[in-house]
Amino acid sequence: MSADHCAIAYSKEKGWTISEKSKDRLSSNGTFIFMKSMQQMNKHIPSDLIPLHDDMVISFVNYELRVRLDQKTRDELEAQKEAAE
Amino acid sequence: MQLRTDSIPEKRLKMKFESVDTEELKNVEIVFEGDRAIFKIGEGEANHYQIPNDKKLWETQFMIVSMNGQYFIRDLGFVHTSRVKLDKRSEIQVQKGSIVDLGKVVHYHFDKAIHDSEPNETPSEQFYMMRPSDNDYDVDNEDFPHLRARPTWVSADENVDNIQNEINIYADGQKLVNTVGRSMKRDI
Repeated sequence: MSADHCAIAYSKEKGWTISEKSKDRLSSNGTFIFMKSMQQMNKHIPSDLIPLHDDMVISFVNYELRVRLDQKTRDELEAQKEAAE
Repeated sequence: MQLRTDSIPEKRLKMKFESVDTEELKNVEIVFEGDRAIFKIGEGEANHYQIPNDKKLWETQFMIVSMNGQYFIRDLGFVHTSRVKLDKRSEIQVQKGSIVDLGKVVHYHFDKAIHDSEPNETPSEQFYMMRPSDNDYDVDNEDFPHLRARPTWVSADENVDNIQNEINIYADGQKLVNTVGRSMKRDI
């Protein structure tokens, strides 16, 4: 754990939140929030559907994947829609 | 059989390996066009993207779902659950039942999360939610909002005496942000 690792805050709109966003640099070993709750883990049920956002980092076992969402061209989109019909 | 999505997304999903166990996966990019409903990733052969010979991975570790023109992730990990890493841009909602890994040293289970009213912020690029459909918030408008966590796992390399046995945070109007870290200057 880093000397200055993360922060926990409360607001009426967001409720309780955890972040590293006010820091100059991220903690060296990171802060991770599990996709499943304790109850979902204990009952061996899948997580909720969690929206993916650009630049999000997904971690599993010893892997980390960075998410990118790239705009498709109009032609690519039309071709995919045609193929799907 | 390929399950069709209800709406093909205008964006292409790319997922790039940044931290890996095996050098051969370093910087490899997984691309999903969202033109099918689901895309599975895991150790098993039946996945759309297979990471073979890693027994820590579940048969299907997680799936990407393309729905309403958007992408979602659903974790299916059995022994090792998948996580979202904090970045410099976003914050993540902590709900009752959330589990947080601090620096791969300790896992805290948040078993109590009291609010003074129901939060209403929608997920965005700056605000992630792990259970966006769960609106079952504990509300007590006669007391201060309260968050409690206890450790469920501590790394074998860590001195257990250094780990706080219980975290209790009250949003009492004096302090709405609490810092967490090894330094004595931190609140927790």
